[in-house]
Amino acid sequence: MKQSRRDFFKTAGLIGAGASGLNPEKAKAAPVNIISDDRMGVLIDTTVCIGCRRCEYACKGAHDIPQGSLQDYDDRSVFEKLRRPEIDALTVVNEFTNSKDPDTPIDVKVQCMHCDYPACVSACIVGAISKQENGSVIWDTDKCIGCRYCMIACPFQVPAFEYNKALQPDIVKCDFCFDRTKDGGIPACVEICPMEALTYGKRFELVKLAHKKIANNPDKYIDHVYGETEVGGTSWMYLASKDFKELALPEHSDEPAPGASEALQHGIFKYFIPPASLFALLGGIMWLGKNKNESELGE
Amino acid sequence: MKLYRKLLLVIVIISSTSLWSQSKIQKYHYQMPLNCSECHSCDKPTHKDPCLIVCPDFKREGLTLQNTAEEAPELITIDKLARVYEPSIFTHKLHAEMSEMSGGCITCHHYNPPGKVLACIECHEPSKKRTDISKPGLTGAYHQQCLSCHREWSHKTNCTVCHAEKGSVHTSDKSEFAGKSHSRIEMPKKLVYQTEEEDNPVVTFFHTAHVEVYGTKCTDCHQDESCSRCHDMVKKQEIAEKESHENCIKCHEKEIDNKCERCHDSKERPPFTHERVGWKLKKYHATQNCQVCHNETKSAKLSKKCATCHKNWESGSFDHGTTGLVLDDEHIDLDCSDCHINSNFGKKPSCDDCHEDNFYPKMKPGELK
Repeated sequence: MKQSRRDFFKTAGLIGAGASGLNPEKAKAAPVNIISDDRMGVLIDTTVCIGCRRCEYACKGAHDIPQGSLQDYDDRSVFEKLRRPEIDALTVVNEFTNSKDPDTPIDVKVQCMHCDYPACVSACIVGAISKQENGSVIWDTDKCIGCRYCMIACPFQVPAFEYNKALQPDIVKCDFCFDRTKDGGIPACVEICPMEALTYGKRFELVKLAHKKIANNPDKYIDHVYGETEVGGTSWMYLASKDFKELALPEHSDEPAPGASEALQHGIFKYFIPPASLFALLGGIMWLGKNKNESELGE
Repeated sequence: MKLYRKLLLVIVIISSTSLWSQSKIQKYHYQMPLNCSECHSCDKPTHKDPCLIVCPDFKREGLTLQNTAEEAPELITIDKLARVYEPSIFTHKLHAEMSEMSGGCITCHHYNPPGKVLACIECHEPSKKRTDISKPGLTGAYHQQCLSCHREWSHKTNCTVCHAEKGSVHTSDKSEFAGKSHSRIEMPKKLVYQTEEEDNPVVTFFHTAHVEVYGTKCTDCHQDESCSRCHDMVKKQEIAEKESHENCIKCHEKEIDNKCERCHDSKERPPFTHERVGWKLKKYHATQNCQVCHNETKSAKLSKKCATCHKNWESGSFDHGTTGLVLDDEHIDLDCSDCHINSNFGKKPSCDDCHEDNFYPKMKPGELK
């Protein structure tokens, strides 16, 4: 009775689905949401990052967003404001003062965390967003109807929306460089990082590495790997010298984020209750009308 | 039959040489002061599956060879990764010299199995795609190592601080860097500390005297210094209280004996002079390091008798010229005690036995050097 990690999740999924009254046959129609044992991830060591913003530059290059010149990224005045990922910047670096050592500020890269239990996948009513086997949470532009439910669902407020486009606006976020990684490449930001503050690898190995780093440098790091358990675990994880709250990384419980929204949303739509009741109502009116007509004709 | 014999002989030779070479490797491993688990991840490594751990990077094992800064290669050109920028020239010796006041060679050479000192590239791969994620690639290793200090004191992270743009002449001329050693550090003459002590807040420290007269080595106090202590471009670092106490106690523990007033005063103190202890040093003695006389116990009182230190000074063999006065022909053959009463050389010599009217010091029994 040896149970693999994947088997465990399958069973857990079945139990979960059963408990919520959704039988697994129906769940087949649900979007791709794979949790592979070998899913990839990135470990961000914020104690190593120097805020050179080369990741921002490389990211734009890899996603056909105008990059500007490399020298533009030496401008550190952008750190005056706290930034969030935008449609033209899928990853941004924010800088925080270091109370321990004011001369070396702490720089924190922000991008999609690629959750193991993505709330966006769950919230998407058209099944456009999917969690791929390699860990990437990506979306299908052709399916996206621009409802922006994913933006509201995301516990990290990552997805951005092309408000500037009148026709066919799309949701935009970090895609973990899926086009590169699916063929064995490494994400553009990881590739360019001169400090190698970003480590790309299998998630379970990164977790081990993160704890090893903390154990070997207890004075340098706080004993917390952000993303290891937050919202059920994320593919991107962080190491830091101070509390993540102070680095604008939100405090989350270990419960997967879809929990609440999924129960509510899927509950309403379960067994097609709203359309079924609507059609039943219309059918009823029609039937009544028909009867009335028949009786009128009969007279 | 002959053919078979030949074949057998060849097989025997081949197998014996391979056995011999194997045993040699094993012996070589045995000689090393190594722990199996440091290199092998499994209990029983075999030739087929040695289950080697690639450079256990996280352990700071220290160096097995003790090298000095003088032995270090002077310049190292880092061009393994030159794509966008000109190669960087790393003034290795200069950094080795500086490291003597901080962590030493292991600041950078953090992992070294027995044998020669390893260069970064011998463990850190130039490829960005890592086989071992626990170990940064070469670019990361260089940048993490350099910037951990350089960022601290330059407060800059621009690439061009270290790298010259491709095509510029900046680094092509190595002569600019060759033969460069650490410039002479300008020592402060004295440092006056305002401490938080209530009654006696002032501590006066005579830095130059410690180095030049008392013979204190830089590294006696300046150990584990951060680079920014000296190199910060913006501000100088303050000395922590604990740090300064530890440094003083290293030599002065006995005299201080938990008495704050030995160092702390209400006002700045005058420098130490030997006159204060009752013996004004002149000529030869004034130029000496304290250790020359006060070698073991530094503050111990010494007898004023010359023979306490100058054990080989005997009449006949003694050259009076060392005192700065070369005796003339009339005096050279006299016995020491004829002038130095009771052989007390600390007191003024007396000329009364032979001369009248305070002969000395108006007139000398010889010539001053």
